[in-house]
Amino acid sequence: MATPCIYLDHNATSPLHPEVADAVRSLLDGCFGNPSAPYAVGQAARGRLVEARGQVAQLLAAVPEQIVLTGGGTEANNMAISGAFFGRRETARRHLVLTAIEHPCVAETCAWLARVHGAEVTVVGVDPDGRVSPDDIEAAIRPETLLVTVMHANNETGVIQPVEEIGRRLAGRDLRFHVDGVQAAGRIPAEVQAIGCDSYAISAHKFGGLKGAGALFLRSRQGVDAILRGGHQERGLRAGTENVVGLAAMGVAAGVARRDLARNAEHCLALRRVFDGLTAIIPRSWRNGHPELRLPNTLNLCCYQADAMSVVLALSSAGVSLGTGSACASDTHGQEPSRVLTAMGLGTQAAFCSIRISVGPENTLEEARTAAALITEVVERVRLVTMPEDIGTCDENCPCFLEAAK
Amino acid sequence: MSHPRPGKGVIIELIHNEPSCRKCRDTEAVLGDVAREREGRVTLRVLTLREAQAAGRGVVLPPTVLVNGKVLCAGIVPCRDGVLRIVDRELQTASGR
Repeated sequence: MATPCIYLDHNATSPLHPEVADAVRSLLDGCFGNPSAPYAVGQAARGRLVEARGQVAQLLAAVPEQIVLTGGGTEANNMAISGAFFGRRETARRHLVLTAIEHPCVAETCAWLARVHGAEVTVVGVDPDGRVSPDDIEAAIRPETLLVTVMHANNETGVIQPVEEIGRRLAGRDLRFHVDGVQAAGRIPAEVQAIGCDSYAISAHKFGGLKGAGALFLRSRQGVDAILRGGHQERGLRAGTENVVGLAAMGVAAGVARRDLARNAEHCLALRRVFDGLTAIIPRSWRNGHPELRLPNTLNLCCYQADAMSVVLALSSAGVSLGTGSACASDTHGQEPSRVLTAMGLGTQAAFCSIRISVGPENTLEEARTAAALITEVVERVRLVTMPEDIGTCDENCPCFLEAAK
Repeated sequence: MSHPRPGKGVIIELIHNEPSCRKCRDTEAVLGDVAREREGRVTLRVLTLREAQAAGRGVVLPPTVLVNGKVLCAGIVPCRDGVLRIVDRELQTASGR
């Protein structure tokens, strides 16, 4: 049998959508101008940015003037959090509230603001299903709270957070509500008016666009300082010549994602159900995360006593690509258990035995069934050779550990 | 990427770091045991991570153990009895061809 090539790691990045690829080819052919230049070549490039801004605004049910184009989701999250911190009017307002399952680009930004700039940070935990309670968020708020940040959907488990409810609870309070929508935008409705947030970050490559392009919805620019300086672009909020091709491609991807949202969600859910069924087939396996309130494309699966990195690499050599967790954290080679899973109450070993399956619109039912069978087979093989006490251990002199720590 | 052709025997490859860590050394000992137990039917090859990467094996986490070109485990010391069972399965499959 030929080795398949099945990509199931869409939460890490998605393949370029064919319609976006066509747009990129035509952009590469002639759209090279600097959008700040007054002559026609520059203005042609500017026109593509205007179009992209409009398409992103439509995806988020916002108006174009509220969209800041960025170099990706990480930058958008940094802009929302650091920008609000440095742009605050009252220096006493230095309290930030975040959940325990935020992406590192949010969690580490808050930690850095605390370490270097005197921010105070409250981390709110989640329940065993991976959801944060709006009550807990409310309880964490103090008079000096500047910003609350909650992700829309978690990158490792796909669990959807009650951002609309939190938005309702925070309405009328004198603080900013930021939502990291990187995994949600383009997969589930992400309408910023319905959420009631002040800012919302997205990343193009999670919904069929190119890497290096993203956007931040900002309800109002008041009280937000630039984090990149030295240019007037994005009305002074984001200095630097724009990545026209990437941003224009993001616009096309946003349009496609909006058009196909319901159909893609239904298709991905049908595929995810195949993988959800693995908990009934693989002994000592379970789903990490809420049974229903999850992205339609994501399953985090614990196959107890089957080392996840071995499972992932064995599957890779069998032609199936999937992840152990956050791609941004997994370059540590799994030396640290997932913060997200441990926040949900999983033990270290269970966290080290959890894999993430995230499907996309281009996957087929046949691929899902083939991959599910291969996962079952590989887990059984890995379990045969896994010594439970060895999972996730490395002594401090281990070169692998040192390599990961660099 | 070229995989070894198993023929009637089993080829086990260990890809380890240089210098070897504790896990790499323990894994080599386990695989050496298995090769001795199934003498003549198992070939053990030990490669450094650099050699494996140069050969386009796409391995990122030592120690990685491959059996007949497919990854069995990575980053852990495999259990000897488990490796033996998998080797025996491969030998059975090969003899059934």
